[in-house]
Amino acid sequence: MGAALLSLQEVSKSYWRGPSEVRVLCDASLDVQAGEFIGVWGRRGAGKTTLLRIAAGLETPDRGTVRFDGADLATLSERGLARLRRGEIGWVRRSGPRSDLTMLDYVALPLLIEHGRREANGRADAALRRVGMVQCAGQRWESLSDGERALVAVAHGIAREPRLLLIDDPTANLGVREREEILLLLRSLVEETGLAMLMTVPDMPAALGSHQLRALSGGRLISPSSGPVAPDGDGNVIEFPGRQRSA
Amino acid sequence: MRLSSIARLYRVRIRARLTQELFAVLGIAIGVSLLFSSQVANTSLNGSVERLTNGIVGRMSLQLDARDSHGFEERLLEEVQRLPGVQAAVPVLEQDANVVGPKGQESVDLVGTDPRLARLGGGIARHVSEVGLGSRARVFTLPTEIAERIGATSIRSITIQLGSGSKHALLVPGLLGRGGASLGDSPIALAPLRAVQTLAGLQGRLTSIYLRAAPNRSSLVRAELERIAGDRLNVRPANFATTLFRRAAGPVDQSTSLFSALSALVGFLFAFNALLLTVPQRRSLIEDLHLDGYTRRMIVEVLLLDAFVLGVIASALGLALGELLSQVLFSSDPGYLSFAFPVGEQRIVTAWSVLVAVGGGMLAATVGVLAPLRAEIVERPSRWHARSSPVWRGRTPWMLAAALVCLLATTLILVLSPRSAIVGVLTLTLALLLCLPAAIELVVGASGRLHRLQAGAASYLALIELRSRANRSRSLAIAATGAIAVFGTVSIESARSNLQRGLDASAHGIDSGADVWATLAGKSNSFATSSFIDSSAEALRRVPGVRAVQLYRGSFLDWLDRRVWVLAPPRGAEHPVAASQIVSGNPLQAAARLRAGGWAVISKAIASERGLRIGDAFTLPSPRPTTLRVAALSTNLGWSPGAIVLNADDYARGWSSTDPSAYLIQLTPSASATVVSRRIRATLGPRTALQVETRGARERMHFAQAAQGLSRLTQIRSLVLIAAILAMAAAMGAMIWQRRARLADMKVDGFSRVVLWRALLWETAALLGVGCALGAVFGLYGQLLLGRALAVVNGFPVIEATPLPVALGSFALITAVAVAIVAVPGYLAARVRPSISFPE
Amino acid sequence: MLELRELVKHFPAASGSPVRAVDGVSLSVAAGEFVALYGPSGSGKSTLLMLIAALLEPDAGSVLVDGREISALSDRDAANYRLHELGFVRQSLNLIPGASALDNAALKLLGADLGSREARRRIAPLLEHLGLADRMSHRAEQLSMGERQRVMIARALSTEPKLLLADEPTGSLDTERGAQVLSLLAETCRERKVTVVLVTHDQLAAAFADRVFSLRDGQLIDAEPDKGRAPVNAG
Repeated sequence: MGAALLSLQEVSKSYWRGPSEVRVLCDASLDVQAGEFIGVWGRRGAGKTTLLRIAAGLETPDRGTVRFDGADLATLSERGLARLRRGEIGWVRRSGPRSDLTMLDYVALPLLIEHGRREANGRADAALRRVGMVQCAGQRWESLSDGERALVAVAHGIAREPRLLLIDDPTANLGVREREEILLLLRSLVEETGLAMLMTVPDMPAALGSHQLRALSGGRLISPSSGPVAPDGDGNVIEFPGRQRSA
Repeated sequence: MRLSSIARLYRVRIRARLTQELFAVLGIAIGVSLLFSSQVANTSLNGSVERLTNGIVGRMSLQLDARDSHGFEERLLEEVQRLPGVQAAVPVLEQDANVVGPKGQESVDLVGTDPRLARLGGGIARHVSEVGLGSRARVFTLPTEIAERIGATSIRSITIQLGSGSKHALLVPGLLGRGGASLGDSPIALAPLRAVQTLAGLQGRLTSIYLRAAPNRSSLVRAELERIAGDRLNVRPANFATTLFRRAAGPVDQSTSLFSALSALVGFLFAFNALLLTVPQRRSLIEDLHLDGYTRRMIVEVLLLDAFVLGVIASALGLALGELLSQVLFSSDPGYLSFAFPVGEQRIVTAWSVLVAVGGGMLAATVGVLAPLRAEIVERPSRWHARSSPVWRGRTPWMLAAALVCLLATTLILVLSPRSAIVGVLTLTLALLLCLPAAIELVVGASGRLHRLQAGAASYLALIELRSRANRSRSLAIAATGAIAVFGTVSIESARSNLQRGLDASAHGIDSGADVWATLAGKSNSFATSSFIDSSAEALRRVPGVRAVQLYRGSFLDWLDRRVWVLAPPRGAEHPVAASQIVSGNPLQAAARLRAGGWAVISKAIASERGLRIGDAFTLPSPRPTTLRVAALSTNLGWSPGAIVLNADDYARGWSSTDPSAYLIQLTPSASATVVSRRIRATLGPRTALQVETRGARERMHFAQAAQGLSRLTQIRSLVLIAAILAMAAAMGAMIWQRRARLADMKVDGFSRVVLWRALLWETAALLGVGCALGAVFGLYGQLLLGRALAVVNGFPVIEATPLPVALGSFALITAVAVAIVAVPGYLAARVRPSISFPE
Repeated sequence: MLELRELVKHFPAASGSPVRAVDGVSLSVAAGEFVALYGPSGSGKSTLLMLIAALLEPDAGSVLVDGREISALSDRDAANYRLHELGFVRQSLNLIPGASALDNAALKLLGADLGSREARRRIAPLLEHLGLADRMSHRAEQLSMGERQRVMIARALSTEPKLLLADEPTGSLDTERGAQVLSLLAETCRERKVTVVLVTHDQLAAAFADRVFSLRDGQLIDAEPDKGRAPVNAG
């Protein structure tokens, strides 16, 4: 098995909220390999989003190192980080385009940095098709249901074909059936494309769709069980059928 | 709903929108201050004359007036007093004079009268009773400010220039000074009647009799007076000077009001931009209030308090700003009007000025708060909850149709009724605003089509923002600010420069009548309208270098409600009227007719009011009425009530006087004007009241006066520019700043800072470019309208030049400066940390 | 207490055929009862609540509250009904930014023609009851999501309504806090004998209800058998 695509080592981060220091992350370590789908479960305010922000280089940890594809993010320039976010790290966002765009344009927007309009639209169309939302290409964000929005957001995240996809609570506001749908989609994406995926969820059931599961509590990333440690020693509890390691 | 509850609701909400609220306050305050200061400037001019007139005439109702400064026999006074119904009559001899003190000289309206004025007249006249108007002593009373200016602040002897000579007199300053009857710096001097008669060499003569008629008898008295007056004197209301002045000041007042209204509009658009920032917050509040069972009326009450507080604070600030502005910038300089009227420079604030300004501010606040929420206010709640389709679409054709109607109305006004130019400018402004959405849509559509071929990321991002419905109102408001600003600038500046060129040409035409001019000194005699006794012409002819000395005559003559400028160049003048000032008729023929005598060139405005055409005969209401024929029609020669040109001999007949008001001195070809002028001054001697100017110096003086007279337009234009640029930059800046979350999203998606910044600049440039370009186009039309109004209605000499440079210049300047200013917040916003895209 | 009869509401859609947001819903709720309407997003839940709150007019059918026809009320009467007889807890936590919890909760009482002092005096005990005694003077943005939701509940209950409508009250909360808020809501309403109609996609909410219905494609399905069952991920 090769080096991890994303590697967090003993990462700590705290915030000042008024006079008191809040420790959001405390010596958290995590490796994500290509083709791996990791779920992190935690309560609201447990530091899930901070974890993702640090993983994407949007924030520097107080201590510890974050490596992407072997490169220490702390040593990268602002420009280098921007390049990383443009080509390597995608983020599925629930806030939508925050402007008046058709979904095709929304998905195609980041592709315009490197591609022409025609090429960008073609790729965006393919991404929408992949998540089964091609029928919504001409619609606008406000007219979509929560379930449809979640799927379009995934299309927006994968359109640039990043190597790592970060997802913050993809199942919020969704009904049971829609949750299942989107979790299955995410999982099949990982398995088809060899993409690495790091997902945070506030509910245990949603996390169960991933390959590996961690809990974030009191700033520590822990395996939800102290039970038998998996052979590779990375703390996963349940090996799901169908997990295909490319190694 | 209780007021305390509404107030509470206001208080708890204000904290979150304090910044936007402050911007709105600032914008409205700017508008209010412009409205206020322009109103004050206007009322100060009119009010100064009115206050002076009323301060003198008091409760007297009628006046019997001479038509020139030589006046009429004093014995008419007794005849008037004996008329049935006349309760009292006051004799007055009024003369133009200069008072010369150690620090300088000032032109004043010298009023000689007797103690009866102090008993019957207004506050000013009553104030001076103790000076002893009954005496024969040369005791003068001046307003304190005038006395201070000439350096005569205590009782002392000063020099008075009257006619062509100077006399000494005792000055008693301060009695017309500060206090209830303050005259400010109205250029007036009061003196005993006998003293003035002696000084002016007009013993036994008066220029006016003021009188009070018994109640119910005034029409009878008037008829009797008219009988006495015959066709040699005028019978008019005692305060008629006010009417004459209003007529003369009309064009200045109108243009000031119009352009101030335009600039106020810019201020209000600025406020509207700021208020739009608070719309989402108010909208969500309204929805919440609905759910909680507030009725629509209660919601409107809540919003009205928002508007009320905003309007009150902004109006108060605006009044303070306007007060400052009217002192610093809009000094109510009477300019050329002071040549014919005793106009002071004091500021007069009327309740009306305050009312207009505050009304404008409150209206702007109310419209600004309520208009963006009109759907929520007007429609039944059950409808707006169901609303899903975009509000905007489908309205454009209607707006374009309305714009077309407005344009049509403007064109009709331009062609048929240039008198209503003000209405025309308003309809044009409306058309401009109505066209704007379509113009933006057009540009967005066109660039969208271009983008289908080739996409640059930055310009595409800009296009997305421009297309966005969420930004629409704000974009429109910003573009409208630019449009109005450029529109205003182009129309004001073109009209001003055309007028300036016209006035200069007119002055040049008159001043080139002689190589050297000798006229009575004094600012109020710039038009050579005061006559003097000819005692030096022969001596001047003998001065080496002088080829000829001719007599020029001229004065102001009241013709109904117009104080008309009468110019009487010598019969032998080569160009009695400059060809450029003739608007109708053959210039050569007109000159020949003037030389022949019995003909006059009159301003077109006077001719059309009297229904006169070329060749028609008319009777000039001169001291001895004279019948003349219309030789040609001219501009007003820069004097708004109009002008009449006849030859000096005809003038002498009509005024029964051979006194000139200028020596026109022609030099031998080789003589130097400066050298000969020196010799002429020496010949006139040190005691003379005449001043000697070369043609060049006189022209420069007139050009400077014209420029100063138009300076208020320049000031307003600068204010419009500054206000608009600030408004647009602030609005764009705020809009960009609010967008940082989205910019952060884009950074997470990999867009670089440079691309985002460029996109913001593209968007700004496109928005402002469309607005300013449309404004420039409409501005061209606006200057056509104003030019026509100035030329046709008021008869001003206007020389039109292509307004394109002004239009292009204003367009480029405003767009460029605003974009440059926006570049800063744009740059800062583009530097947003991408991490704010994902708040914890 | 509340009765819906064959309620129908359509919306015009961009694609042509109208969306039947509420399609023949009939429901009868007794006084003091807690009813949960469960359904995924877009199932017409919010539309149904708007109809009950007289914020929308039905295309057909009627809403009766205590035997009174709600959909026929004038604007003014409808507002009065919302003010005094109805409480509405919504999903979006649009508290007035910068204003204190107390002022935010007192918003509705301000509309009820009480002075602002009286309004704030009356709302205080309710906030205390909801566990916000020491958070009353905190500004909206200093409150946690759960606290904000409780402020909204206080506001809705402030005029002592007989009927409370709750639209996804736990939408912005995680499971644990959502459960806390729901139990507080249920308990408070039971004490005050307030009828509750709650719509949610969160099956957890259903656990606090007396009766649970499912709403799908604008139609109501009796979901009693599912009552209280936690959602299970088939994985």
